Amino acid sequence: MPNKHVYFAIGALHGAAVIAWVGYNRHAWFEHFRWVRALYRWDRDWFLYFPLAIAFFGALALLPDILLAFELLPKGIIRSNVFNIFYGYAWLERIEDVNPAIDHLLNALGSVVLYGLSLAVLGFYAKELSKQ
Amino acid sequence: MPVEAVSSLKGAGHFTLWFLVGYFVFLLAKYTNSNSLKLRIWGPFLPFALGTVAAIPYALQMAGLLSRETALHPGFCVVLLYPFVEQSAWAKAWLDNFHVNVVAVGAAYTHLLVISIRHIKRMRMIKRTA
Repeated sequence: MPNKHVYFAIGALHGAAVIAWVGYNRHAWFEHFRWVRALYRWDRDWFLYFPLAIAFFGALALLPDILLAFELLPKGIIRSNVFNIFYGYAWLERIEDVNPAIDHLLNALGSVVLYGLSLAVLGFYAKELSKQ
Repeated sequence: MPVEAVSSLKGAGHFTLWFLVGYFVFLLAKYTNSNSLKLRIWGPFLPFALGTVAAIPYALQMAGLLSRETALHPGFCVVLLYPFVEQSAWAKAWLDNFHVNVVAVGAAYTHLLVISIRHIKRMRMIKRTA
């Protein structure tokens, strides 16, 4: 099975896409959505904290592993198809039975994705700092 | 330097060590020179730069472009003391665990983000009240 960081990377990639989408639209949404105006009332710089939500999406992708680690559900159930809602978890777990080379490739890709995302988030803050 | 037929410290171990070195260097520079905007902008990238360079010999070995014997040659000490770290018992003991690497790098990285967020907010506050 792929290492845990692969699942985190998949979730984090999704989280990054969501945050980028919110970031792109937040000014336009200010006129239309109460929750956006509430966020601005809470903190004018609320979007500075938003990229930290990427870790939440990453953790969401690890939920099946967390359930397994704390023995809340048995492995047979965790590997059932219903858990594919967690970014294809069950399908990825069976990868090693198909081809171990794909396992290694996923591990490498997961590392690259996390590395790239980490730099991108730092780049976002560096850009905000340079505007000041 | 003797070449030992032991399993190598993974790339994550090398990356973690020098990521943490870069992180502490940045913190020290920040406390001694707190007014430098360039340091605030580019300093957080130092851990990534050092970590990446430190992991290059390992990555080259994984890609089959470099043999272990070559990577352990004393000349490779220019690459952030790679042979020295690779054959250190303390490095193997502390850094050969992927989970330890993830927690250490994750904690340092989160702190870097928090530092950046705080500084942006402070500068925006100064701008608004000016």
